[in-house]
Amino acid sequence: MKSSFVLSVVTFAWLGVSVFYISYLVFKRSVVGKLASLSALLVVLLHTVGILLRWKESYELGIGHAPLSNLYESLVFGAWAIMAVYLIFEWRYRQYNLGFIPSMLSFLAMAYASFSPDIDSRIQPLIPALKSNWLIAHVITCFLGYAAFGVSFGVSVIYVLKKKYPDSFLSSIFADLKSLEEFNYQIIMFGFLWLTIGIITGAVWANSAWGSYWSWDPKETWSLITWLVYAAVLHARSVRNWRGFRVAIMSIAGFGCVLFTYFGVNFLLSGLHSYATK
Amino acid sequence: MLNFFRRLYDFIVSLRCAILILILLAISSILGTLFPQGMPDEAVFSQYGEGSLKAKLIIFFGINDLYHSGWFQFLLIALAVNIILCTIERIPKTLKLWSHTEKDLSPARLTKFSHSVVIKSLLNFDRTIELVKQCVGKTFRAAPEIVIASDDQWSCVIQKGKFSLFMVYGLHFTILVILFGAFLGSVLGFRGMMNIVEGASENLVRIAKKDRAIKLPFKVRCDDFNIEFYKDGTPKEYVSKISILKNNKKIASAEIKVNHPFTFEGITFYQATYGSLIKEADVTFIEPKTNKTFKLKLSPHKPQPLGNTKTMVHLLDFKENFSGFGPALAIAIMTPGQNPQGSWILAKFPKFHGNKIGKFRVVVDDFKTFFYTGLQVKRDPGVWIVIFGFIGFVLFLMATFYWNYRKLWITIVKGNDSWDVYVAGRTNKNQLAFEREFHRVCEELKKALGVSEVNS
Ligand code: HEM
Repeated sequence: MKSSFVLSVVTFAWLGVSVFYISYLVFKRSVVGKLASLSALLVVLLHTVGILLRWKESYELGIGHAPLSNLYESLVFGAWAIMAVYLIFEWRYRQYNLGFIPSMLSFLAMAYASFSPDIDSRIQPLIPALKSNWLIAHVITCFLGYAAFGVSFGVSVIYVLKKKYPDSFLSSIFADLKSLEEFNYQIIMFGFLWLTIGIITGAVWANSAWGSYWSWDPKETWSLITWLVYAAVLHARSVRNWRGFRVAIMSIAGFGCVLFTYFGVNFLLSGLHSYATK
Repeated sequence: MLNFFRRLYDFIVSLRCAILILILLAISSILGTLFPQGMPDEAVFSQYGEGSLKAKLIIFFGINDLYHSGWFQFLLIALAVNIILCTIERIPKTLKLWSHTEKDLSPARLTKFSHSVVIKSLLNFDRTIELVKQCVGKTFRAAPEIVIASDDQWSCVIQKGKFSLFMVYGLHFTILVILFGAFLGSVLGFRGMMNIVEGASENLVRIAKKDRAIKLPFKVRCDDFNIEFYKDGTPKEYVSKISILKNNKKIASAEIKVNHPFTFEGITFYQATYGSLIKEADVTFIEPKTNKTFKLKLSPHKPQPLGNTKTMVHLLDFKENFSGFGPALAIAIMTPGQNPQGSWILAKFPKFHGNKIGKFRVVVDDFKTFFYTGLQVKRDPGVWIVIFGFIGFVLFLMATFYWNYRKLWITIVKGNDSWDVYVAGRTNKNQLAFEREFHRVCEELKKALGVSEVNS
């Protein structure tokens, strides 16, 4: 089987999973929730297979490298990471009803990667600057961070909706506000930890590739800004005792920074990061 | 006046000030990504207009080199000062929490906690104490500290992870370590470029943006430079083979690739760029009218006469890719008493109509180039401190996030017809996980005491 085939199946499978999650919200039957959760697990596995196949195919082309080297591959990995992180938290916190936003984000990322005419999905050889094991560590850790912030974005949106419209029929299905808030906090901490490690591995890599662990390249700078925003969220919560609504709003803004760091910098600003050139 | 200083100090040590500094840092960082960095002042004027307000503002605030401007550095120093003062201000509070001893363990207080349970034990007083001690020690995995042990009341506290209270200090201290390492690197280190032609050796490092060079205590010779390509033509590897020479004796050699730098005596060399220079070229000059041809072997700095005329031919410059037309040679001819004439001659397009100098058509028959390698050269004695700070930051971050201070309060007093066990608990973090742990402890207690709870 070809990885491109598996990954296009996965793209639509994510749409299916998010339809399952939405049906759970509509019908409120726990069997639908379990089904959504199970299907998400299966699709994550299939997604993993797709990524591993692509890795293997690159070796067959004689230019073997981890599939984390261009915009297409990073989007595919990002889509995988969001749902992988979400499922870990779903399993740990026994909340089966928050999945529709993360699975929708995964679908959108995959659809954008597959169908945008600006994105080249061919397996390309690695340019010398990217030939480093730090690349793998850097991309994986950054994306675990981004993925967690994506899940937190979803939880925050639900929190805000539930807070604003406590009586709507959607609200009754979600966990109580207190659990949502705690869940949100846990996932922001998780994301902050991984983004920190991501920035640091990036710095160490830059130090061995360009001789400078920090060169204020726009992408670097924007990831620092994102990091500062989430540091502000953590401080506001632990030092100023902000809770719930305000934390949710800050997390939504933080995810805006994540998106800008990832897309905006590539398309609007120029810098060292090669994803900018597709 | 004193009042003013008091208020200023209070602001400086507040988290509000920290947040203000962080916001200012974030905004200025954004500014730095919107304006091109590292532009000389002249370039700013030519881009935004000589004497325009925008250009003046950019130069006044150093926005063309924002991250090295005075006020940005001031913000970083302010952040460091703020962290230090905040820490000093806060340590006594933490110490107080650390050495706090419990006195009031009355049922009235314990029932006010958000995690609180009462269990009615039907066993006698001593047996109840015995079992509570055993069970809690096992399920909460910490030793009870007995506070009250009288005839009709037995109270203890059980705590763990108390040391985690100090982890935030470690966390903020590592930020200072990172800033210090960066500062040390910028004061004691340098960063520059070195272009070395194949076969040549060099000991001067040009410092970026400053008209300054540093002389290394040894020479670097480029023995060979090579580019490897993939099948589809994209570059695969840039490799420089270099030797280190001291008193013209080779004392070390290395292969430098992108991502594989080489360090010698604290100075690190990185593969950064490359280029090629012309070595020699075989050129034919044709005079179309007479069909006379002259064959010449040119090399830079060695002008050749055109046949036996007085005209001299100079090879001035070389471009590997001239506006997308491939390699081109800049050639000029000089005849005494006339203006010099010259042009770029495309090597790969001998029929190109522009390959003309004066009345001659010029064809490049063959040319040889040699490479020079561009090495980035760096000395940064602070880099290990920064990396040490990075590792510390991550470890302390995990400790602050996932190591929490959990505490149980237990009091056993006489109830109506039983001994009542009051259990209360609190944590500073990770409430959901603690709720589960608290619940488990209470369930185990109930099992051990063989009773059901009355209320919680
Ligand atoms: C880039 C700068 C900073 C970073 C990345 C940072 C990071 C953190 C983190 C991750 C926490 C733990 C949050 C939690 O417990 O959930 C924390 C706590 C804290 N930070 Fe910072 N911090 C920074 C700067 C500062 C500054 C300048 C101050 C000085 C006012 C400060 C004061 C505090 C305090 C008081 C806490 C207490 C947390 C607690 O006890 O729960 N931080 N910081």
